[in-house]
Amino acid sequence: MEISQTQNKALALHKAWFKQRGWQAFPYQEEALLAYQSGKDGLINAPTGSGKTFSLWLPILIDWIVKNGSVRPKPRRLKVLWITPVRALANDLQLAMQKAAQEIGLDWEVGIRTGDTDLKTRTKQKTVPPECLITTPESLHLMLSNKGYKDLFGSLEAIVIDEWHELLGTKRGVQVELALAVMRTLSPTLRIWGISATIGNMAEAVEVLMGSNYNPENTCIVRSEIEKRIVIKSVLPDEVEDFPWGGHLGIKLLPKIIPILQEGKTTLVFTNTRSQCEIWYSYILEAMPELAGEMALHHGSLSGEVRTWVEDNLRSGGLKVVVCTSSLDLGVDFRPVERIIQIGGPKGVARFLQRAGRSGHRPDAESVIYFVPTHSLELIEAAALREAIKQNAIEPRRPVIRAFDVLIQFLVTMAISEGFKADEMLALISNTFAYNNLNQTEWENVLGFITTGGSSLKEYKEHYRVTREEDFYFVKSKRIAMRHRVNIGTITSDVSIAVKFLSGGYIGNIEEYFVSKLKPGTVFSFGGKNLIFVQLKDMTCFVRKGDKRNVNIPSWQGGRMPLSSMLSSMIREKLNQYLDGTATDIELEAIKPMLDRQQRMSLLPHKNELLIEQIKTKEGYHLFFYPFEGRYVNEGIASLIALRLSQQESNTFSIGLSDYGFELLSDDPVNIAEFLEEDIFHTNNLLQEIQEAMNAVQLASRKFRDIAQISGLTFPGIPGKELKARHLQASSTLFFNMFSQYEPNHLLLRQAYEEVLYDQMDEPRLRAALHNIAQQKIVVTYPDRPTPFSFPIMVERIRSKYSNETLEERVQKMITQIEGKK
Amino acid sequence: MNTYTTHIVRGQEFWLLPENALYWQSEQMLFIADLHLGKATHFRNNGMYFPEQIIGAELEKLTKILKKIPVKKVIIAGDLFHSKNNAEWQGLKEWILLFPDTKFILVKGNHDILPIEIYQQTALEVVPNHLIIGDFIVAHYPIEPEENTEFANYYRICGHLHPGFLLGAKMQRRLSLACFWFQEHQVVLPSFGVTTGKINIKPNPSDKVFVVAGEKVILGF
Repeated sequence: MEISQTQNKALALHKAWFKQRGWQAFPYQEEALLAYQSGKDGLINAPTGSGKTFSLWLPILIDWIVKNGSVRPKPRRLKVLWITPVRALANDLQLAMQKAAQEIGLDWEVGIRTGDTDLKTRTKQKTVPPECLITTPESLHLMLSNKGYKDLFGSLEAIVIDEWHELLGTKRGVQVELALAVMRTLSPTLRIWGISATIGNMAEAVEVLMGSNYNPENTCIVRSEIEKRIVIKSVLPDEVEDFPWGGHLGIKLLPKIIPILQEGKTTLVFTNTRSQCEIWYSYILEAMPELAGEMALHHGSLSGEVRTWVEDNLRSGGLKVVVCTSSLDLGVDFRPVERIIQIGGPKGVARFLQRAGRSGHRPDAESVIYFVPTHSLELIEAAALREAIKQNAIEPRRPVIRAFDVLIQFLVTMAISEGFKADEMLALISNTFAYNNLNQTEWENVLGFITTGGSSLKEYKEHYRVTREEDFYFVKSKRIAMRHRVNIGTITSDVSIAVKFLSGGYIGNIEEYFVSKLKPGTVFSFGGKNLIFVQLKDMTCFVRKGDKRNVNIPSWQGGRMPLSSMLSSMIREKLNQYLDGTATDIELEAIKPMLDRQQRMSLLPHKNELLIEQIKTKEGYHLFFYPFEGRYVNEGIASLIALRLSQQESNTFSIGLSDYGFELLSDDPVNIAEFLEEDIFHTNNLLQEIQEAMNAVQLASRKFRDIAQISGLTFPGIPGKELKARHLQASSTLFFNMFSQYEPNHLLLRQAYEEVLYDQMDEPRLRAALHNIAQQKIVVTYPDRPTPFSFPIMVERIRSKYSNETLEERVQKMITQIEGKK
Repeated sequence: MNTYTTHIVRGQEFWLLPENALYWQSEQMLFIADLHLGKATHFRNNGMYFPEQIIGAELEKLTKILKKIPVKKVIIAGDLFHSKNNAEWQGLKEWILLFPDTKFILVKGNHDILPIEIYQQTALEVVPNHLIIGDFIVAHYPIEPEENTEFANYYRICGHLHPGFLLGAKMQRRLSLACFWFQEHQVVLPSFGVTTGKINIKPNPSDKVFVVAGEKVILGF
């Protein structure tokens, strides 16, 4: 490649900056510099801790210097937008970016615009904009709802979307797509760059960013060649139980974890659920009281204040141990972190990599991650993860498409600020990946919804949100505009209850579901504190400090991630290797007695076999199926098979589930061999049957909560004006019921069902799983008692019926019964 | 012959209509609560969505009842109209005139905030707090048994809660149905409005809860 003079100049500036810092640029960073300078769009694929921020920020600064010199442009205009998914990341970014600009000698100001930015700063940003603004998707849309946005954004040279892999696959990602579409119309020479960790669909990730402007010739993916060495060390139990069950093994391994915690400078302990997080925090503190003051908890239900405190202290090295959930998966560099412990299977390769990357922040450092199984079967997951990393098999993130709620919110936003013309807007929207196949009827329905509230464009005499005059759409009422702005930024929120001390201090949020089970006087553990429940009032759970007797742990229903299909196929791969004798993983060696026992009692299935076990116990007749497809898909298959079996012969089933398989329990025997003569795994009529089997109405009604809020059907209320707003409050369930009755074909209602089908039931994966089963050999075994594979599923089913202690007793009894039968 | 579910309180027989209304047969009185008329229009006037097809559904429902059974008095235990005046009030005014032989009495609820002149322009009789009929007292708010001192001898007929009862609470498939909640000292009526939500109640063992399941009213607790 020929290198021009400007490129040479740029490379020299680039080198000098790194030299000044005592660093050396990675080849990928230079590649990004040249690509940016030649006017290309693109995506940087680099892991956290590899200097990914500088890989774009420096090219932007240098490109400006090379073309315009080092003087600040006058009049001052906004040149760069930097979009981040987490507003907590903004401050760190700003410091690093401002410093780099100074060092390179460009007098640019880097500002922040998030929900935390005060009015004074916001006003100043309007009159004297900084050259670069760091913002979130929500705040960006809020800026689009202000008059004058065209002027503000018209001078943009570049937009950077940081952590794009986190936004892709969410409705906030769609918000980014829409904002980008607007920006493209304002500034045709705009360069758009994403930064993303590795995901399975990199090419698609780029396509979504670029929209229909996507031109492969002018777009490039710059991959950092930095291979982070990831070492998985499983914490192995001394003795592997033959009958594994979820939950208790992890804590038993605590003595083996203590040395790891003592040794490291700072350790992050990742758990899969918030309840686990609370449990582990209290156990570790009990075992290592010397950690008091040096250990903290971090999860999404704790107040922002608490979380910020933990993050700050992690950064300064003031904490030795932090027990956390996915809330710390993202972004910020916590340099002092040296060790990662993962409790329980992480259920996905991408997630695991992300967590592993939290340690060893120097680009050349090796990341060590300790894996603590919560039951011995999970040790296979560790081996499967190692295999997946070796093969670079990482899950894709599928982009959200056709989210009508987000579109409606966006259109009202645009109507509030400067108004829009229908045909121009349609052209703009069709530019995005999310809405590029919107048809004319859908478009008219959406416009009808915001102007008349009906699904048509007919005149309606009472005013509604958006006013239409011929082809122009705008909002007249200031009140409507104000309410809409409050609503932007409310994407995703569960019904959560604030937890506060009677004396007033806010502690965090817990789910309504948990609070509803509390009686006054009950003690529960939250945020590492023992609290006594006093009363529930005005969506607030009031508590007092309590002592340590009979502590309950809040359960959060949301936190459970199903096993990804990537990982589940790796698990089958590993079992295959084990059967062929080619597996070398220490984990498989450790659970050899258990696997052999499974083989002896029933079967260890090959990749091309579907194992079904039929077992009779005092409880009744059990059928166990092992598709290894992850909890959600297993649930889908289970409901479908239960439905099909009961249609042929009336029978009712209780369903038990795990990531590996499922159980159908009935009082009456099922002649499974006879059923299998017909194809019970067929996919004819799948859509209808699965919706019937899984009670899609109820699931859709739950999905509708988010949809109703995003599209502005429900209104969270304006802070401080709650009383007046009360007559305008209605629950999403009410809307769901009214739609179902009066407008069953409404776009938003259909969206709810589609979300259930694709997100919840994962219909495509379910269908693929059934097709896969059709290719497999079905093997039915009839063990005389529960097997190592079936046991954990049985325990999962009865778990909800017992408290922690009685469950332990109950499980021990079950094991004694099985062993006694020998 | 009466095909409705009945329940006896203080020696009086009440019919439980699946339209969410309570009928005192011997007096030919109909008790309803929480219509929240005008809610759809109130929302729409404020730029918030409400399906327009729903407007008028309550009055249609009431018309059906009045054509089916003899009603001398319709007594509304509060929350007849949702908020400020709007076009739906005019509809109500005209509708009442269709039933000259029936008297309509509103015992005001927290939502009934229209100025007095507006009520006066209709054939509606408005009572501010409560209305005593024989052994019964009609009011908007339910009360706790221990609060029941001032009118302790009367059985209370009230609304406000929009009570719902959760069937199969522990199962995966839960269903919340509107209900009549009979306690020792009062009955809380299901909301008559079709634009209202429900609040699931937690009855005491001595209570009786009748749920409205489609065209039937059945004992649920």
